[in-house]
Amino acid sequence: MDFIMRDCAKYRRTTVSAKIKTYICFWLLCLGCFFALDANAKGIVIERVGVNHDNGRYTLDADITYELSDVAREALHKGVGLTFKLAVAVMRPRQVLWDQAIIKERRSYYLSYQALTGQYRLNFDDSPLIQSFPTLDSALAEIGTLRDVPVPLFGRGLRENKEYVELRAWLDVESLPVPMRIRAYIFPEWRHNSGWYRWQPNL
Amino acid sequence: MIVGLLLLGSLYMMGAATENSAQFDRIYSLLVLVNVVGLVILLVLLGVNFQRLRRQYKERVVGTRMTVRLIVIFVVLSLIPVSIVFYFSLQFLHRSIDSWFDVRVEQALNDSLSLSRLALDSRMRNMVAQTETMAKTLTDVSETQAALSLNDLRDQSDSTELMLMASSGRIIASSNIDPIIIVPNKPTSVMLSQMRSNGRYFGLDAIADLGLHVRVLMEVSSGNPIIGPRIFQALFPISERISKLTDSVQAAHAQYERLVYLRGPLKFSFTLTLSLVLLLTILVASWAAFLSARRLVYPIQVLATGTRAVASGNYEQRLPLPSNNDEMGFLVQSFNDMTRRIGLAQSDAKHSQQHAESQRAYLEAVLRRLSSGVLTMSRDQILRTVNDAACDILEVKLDAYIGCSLSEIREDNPKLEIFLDGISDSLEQGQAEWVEEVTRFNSHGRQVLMCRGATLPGVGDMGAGNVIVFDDFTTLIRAQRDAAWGEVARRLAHEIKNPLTPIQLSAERMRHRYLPKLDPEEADLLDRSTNTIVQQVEVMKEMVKAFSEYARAPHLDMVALDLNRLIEEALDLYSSDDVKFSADLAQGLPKIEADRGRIRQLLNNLIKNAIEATHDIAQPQVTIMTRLIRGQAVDSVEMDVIDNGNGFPDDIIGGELFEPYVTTKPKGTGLGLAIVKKIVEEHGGFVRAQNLPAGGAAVMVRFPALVTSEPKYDAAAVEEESPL
Repeated sequence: MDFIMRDCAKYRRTTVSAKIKTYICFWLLCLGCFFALDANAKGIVIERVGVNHDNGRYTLDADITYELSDVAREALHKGVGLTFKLAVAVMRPRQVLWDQAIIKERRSYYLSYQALTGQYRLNFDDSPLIQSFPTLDSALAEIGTLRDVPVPLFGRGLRENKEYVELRAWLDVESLPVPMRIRAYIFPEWRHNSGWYRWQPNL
Repeated sequence: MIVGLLLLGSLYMMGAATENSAQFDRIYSLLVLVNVVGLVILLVLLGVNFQRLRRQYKERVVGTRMTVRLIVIFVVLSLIPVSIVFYFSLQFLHRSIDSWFDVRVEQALNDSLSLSRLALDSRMRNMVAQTETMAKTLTDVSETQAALSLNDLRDQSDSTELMLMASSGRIIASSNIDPIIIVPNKPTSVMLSQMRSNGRYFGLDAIADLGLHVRVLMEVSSGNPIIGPRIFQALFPISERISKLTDSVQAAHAQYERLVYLRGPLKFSFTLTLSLVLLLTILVASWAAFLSARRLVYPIQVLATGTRAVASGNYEQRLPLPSNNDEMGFLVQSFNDMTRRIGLAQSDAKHSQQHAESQRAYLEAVLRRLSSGVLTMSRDQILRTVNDAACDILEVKLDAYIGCSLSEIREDNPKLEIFLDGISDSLEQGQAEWVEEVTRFNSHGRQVLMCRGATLPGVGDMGAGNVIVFDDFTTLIRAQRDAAWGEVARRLAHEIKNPLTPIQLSAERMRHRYLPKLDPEEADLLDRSTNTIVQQVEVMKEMVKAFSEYARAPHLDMVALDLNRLIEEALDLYSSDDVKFSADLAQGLPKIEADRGRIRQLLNNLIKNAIEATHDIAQPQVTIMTRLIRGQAVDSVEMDVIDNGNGFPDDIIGGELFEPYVTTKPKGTGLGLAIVKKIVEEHGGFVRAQNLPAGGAAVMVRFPALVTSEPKYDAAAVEEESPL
């Protein structure tokens, strides 16, 4: 009788653990689908990147395609400014821990729509320059075309051949108005992220 | 509690952040994450608790049902008001947010925007017209004269900057109202492409540090093929007042548009915050319900455990008092008092029982060591108690008959009939105390029992009954009789012995003096008469001697004796007789402590008695056997003198055989066996006689064996002690 009870208890434990496993699998599947949707949302694509080195001066060239989703366009036309961010980093691989970021640089663009003039205004965080564009595509093309962007710190980072460079461009959800953030995190159409574009510069 | 407070704090900050509080704006997402994680932790905790409760419910743990009931009550009581508040708050919030927006306001803002646009368009058209006019004057201007022309044109127009570019984008000349500014504001490629496709471009452009301007781009065609098409740009400032007004209209419109657009997300955020508050409230209430229910049910569980312990006889268990001194605490305190008192009562009862048991053991020990036999009986004459002495005296294992009636004992043991009848009669008379002398016959012969009875009061489950104490007075009576006989013998010897010698001497003197003087006939008479007197006096002297020997208390010279050797010496003396003697003596028999002369006299008396018993038998035979009898306290050496004579008469073998003056022989003094018994008793032994079934008689004498350090007995000759 005792061994039957033990077996029953074991079976009960097995059943409970099987249920827990089922729950975990279900949620992992949901999470997987969620990120799969995220991966399909190709709002920003880095087409080409290059680092130029001329007489100790490092510059960055990149062609990035920005394509806004309908909800983002609607928000822009309804007066919500969009902040795009660009991050570039020099990474050094490590054996045990994750790779070390030696150099990190960021710049951001604030894109807004002027209903009165019907123009798109672009503010740069690192300069007081404000540019106006008659079309959205022209504004997005402006921030997507990087030519001779100086990256002076690269000289310190790229000393050995094993370092690599990462570039990422994304729509900054945290800069959106507070009521929109949760939705932006939840719904994939708000996810504009190029992901890390990684390459080994051959200087 | 801490987690709940933290979550409530983060919810407050979330609410504040939703209301555009700059303080919590930046950490809004983090707050949401913290809340969600906190809620997940609470959910997991609650899930674990629910699972445990479910298991306890299935296992029917005490207090689980009450816990479930309390939790359901708590949760329902908290859920109903919270849900109502949640519903009305949501409704109120949505309506409040909707009330922010008014169609008329929206329309007014749109109209103001349109009005601003129209005003600007009107001004822009004017500026475009001015630019066209200026452009016409520049069609054939050479590059060297262009700068001067532009300065003139700028002075004549409202523009702040004029610029002439080649189609390749090269700046030919420019003129700015501010002479410090040398580099002109170039149009973007998008503007140029629009200009090329439409022939002209104009639009408002916010120029850094200079404010809002109208930029007009126009292609200037020249008839001179060397010069080619050129691009003319004119920048017209918007007046500060108009600029401010348009900015204000633009900002207000943009803000309203944004508000309208954010209406949905704002509702969603507030609904989310409220839902989190609701969920947190429900979860915290559930958690509080668990804690409260457990705290409330715990004393009940403790009480149930204590009750079970008491039910199983454990009165030592004390329940822990709850921290709060409420009714449950009072109940637990009362329970502890109750168990303590029960425990004390139980302990007292146990002590009383132990005391009673010790008393009972003490009484049993006393009864066991009592030489008097003790019986207790119920009123309906059922045997309750019996001691060892009673069994020994009655020679019946009465222990086996406890719980049996006297009639049942009588049926199984006919030899107890006289005794049982005697006490039964006395019991039936119902006297409080009675004394009865009962004479019965046991294996030793006649036995005189002095019985005393008394009624017992009923105590507890022991009902009323009777106690009977009896003693075997046989030995005492016999000793008294022996003492009396000894006194008689001593007096007899003393009174008779003295006149016998003068009688004998007188008879011999008469014979000596008158025998020669008398005639032969008279002399013969005198001779026979005096001889008769002398012979009878001799016989009387022998008899007196025997009596005196019986009566005197000899001085015993106790030594360690080998009984077998004494028997062999005694048999040597009688070897010439016609009687056939045989000895079956046990080897390795232990010695006895005895007086050699007295034991020899005992042997002579017994052998002589056996020879005399077989005088009329054709083949007389006397056998002497010895053996060792193992006893509980002390071992014994037994000697049996067996003859094949006629045996003892049945009427004396019971009790009078060993009394003086009892003889079956014509010439016997009747003191032989009496002296044997006396000698045996002097040595601490005892004697008995019995007729053998095959004919003849046996006299068995038993002496205590001398205790030696390591006795080596012949196993074949060893027997267990048995009652004689």
